[in-house]
Amino acid sequence: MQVRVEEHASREFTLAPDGELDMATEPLLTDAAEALLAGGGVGTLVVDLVDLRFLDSSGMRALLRVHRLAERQGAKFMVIRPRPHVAEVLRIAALDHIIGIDGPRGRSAGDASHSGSGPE
Amino acid sequence: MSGDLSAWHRCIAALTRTSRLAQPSTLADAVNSAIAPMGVEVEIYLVDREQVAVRAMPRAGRPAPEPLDVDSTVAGRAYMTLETVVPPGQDDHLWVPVLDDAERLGVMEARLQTEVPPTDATLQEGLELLSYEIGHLLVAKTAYGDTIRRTRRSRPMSTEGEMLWRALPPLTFVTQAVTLAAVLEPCYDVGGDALDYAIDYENLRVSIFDAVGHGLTAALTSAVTLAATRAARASGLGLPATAAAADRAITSQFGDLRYTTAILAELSTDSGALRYVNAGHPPAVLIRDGKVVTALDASPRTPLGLSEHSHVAEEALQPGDRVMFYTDGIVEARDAAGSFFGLGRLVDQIERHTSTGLPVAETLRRLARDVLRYQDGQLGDDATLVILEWSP
Repeated sequence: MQVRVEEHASREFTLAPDGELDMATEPLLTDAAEALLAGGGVGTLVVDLVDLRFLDSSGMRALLRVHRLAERQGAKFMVIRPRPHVAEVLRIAALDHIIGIDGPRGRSAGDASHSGSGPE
Repeated sequence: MSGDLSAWHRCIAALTRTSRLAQPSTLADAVNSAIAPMGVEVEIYLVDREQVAVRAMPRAGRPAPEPLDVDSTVAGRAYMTLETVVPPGQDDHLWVPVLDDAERLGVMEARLQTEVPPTDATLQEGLELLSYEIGHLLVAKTAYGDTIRRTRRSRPMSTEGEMLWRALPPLTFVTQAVTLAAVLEPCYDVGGDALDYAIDYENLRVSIFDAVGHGLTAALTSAVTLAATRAARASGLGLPATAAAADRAITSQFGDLRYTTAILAELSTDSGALRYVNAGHPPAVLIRDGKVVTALDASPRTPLGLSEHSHVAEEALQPGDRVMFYTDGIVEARDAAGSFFGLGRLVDQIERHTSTGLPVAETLRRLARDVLRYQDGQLGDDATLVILEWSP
């Protein structure tokens, strides 16, 4: 897995992990987030899951950790564009009760067939 | 001798008395001393944790017989079918399943040194009674030494496996109204997955757990979750308060956002009313007449440890309904090409095995084997399956 870091205007940054986010790869995401947030110049942190094919419970904990890191730095946090299988994993874990997730959050995998829009 | 069940009663009563001083390592000898008057010698075989082979309990001054494969031997047939098996064309021995109530522990081979044929009804009834006594003795004696535990292991248990297995209830449980059976893999290394149940009068509580991560770290989270929910339940708390107790225990003990996904459920064995809290866990599915009729996915909350208010959802079971609880390690087992085992295949396999008329515990044994084979023998994650059947 790799994590692409993108910088946008108005202190908005995107972290885009590709491949599989699980116990083996979660440090890549949390390390990238820590490095980014350490600078203090992040107003909004977006994790773009468009290229993520697999997410397990360790991967979800990584998202929760990045969320907590962002909150502590006073940065807004958002997860966007999960693929249908990943969206279903996030929905089952009810992670959208904690983290803002923009993308398919249907009641079943069948409903979650379209990819979500980007950040507002 | 044939027709005289009271002689068996006397021997089993003698065993009950003498076994009080037996150790785990001398149990097989104690059994044989007690039943010597019947002209029968027994060899007690215990099934290993992976349920692949049955392994003989040690006896003084005798070499241990080789383990016997469950799938391909007469001994295994008795284990799989839970029926006494007389090998065709042989008149000097028979195989009897050994259970602790509904939990399969292994089989015993009875070797006959008399003229009584192995098909004799009194002989078989006497051996059946003896097998109940042996089953209870095996469980009682396990606490006092490692011999029984060691006999059930084909290889050493990991630290996390040791912690988990000592915390788990028996994996099969049957009353007049409910049957519950479970399987956990990989059995020597399982750590983060767990299950629990308790029946008190008409109230059956059932839970399945999956702590984040793998290995000993996950097992510790799992152990804390189990203990917190058990203490809450035993003190009379309902489902939401039980979930809250687990939230508190996990967050107070660990500050690193770890969590346990769980379903905490309770079934009224009188009415079939099923109530549940789903804390971020893959929804249980309701199987009726061999088909999945619904996923129990109402009102999910976040996993235990990410404190949140719990909503209780309800489902009315019909007689004969099965509820299947599972962890993601089952459906996310992957073959060489990376394809998931999947829920559809899981339900299909359950129905295929169930149609053979075998006990539910045997269905789950075969299913665990299917999942392991699918992943070429190497599971990437803990995989647990629990089936609850309501048949009032």
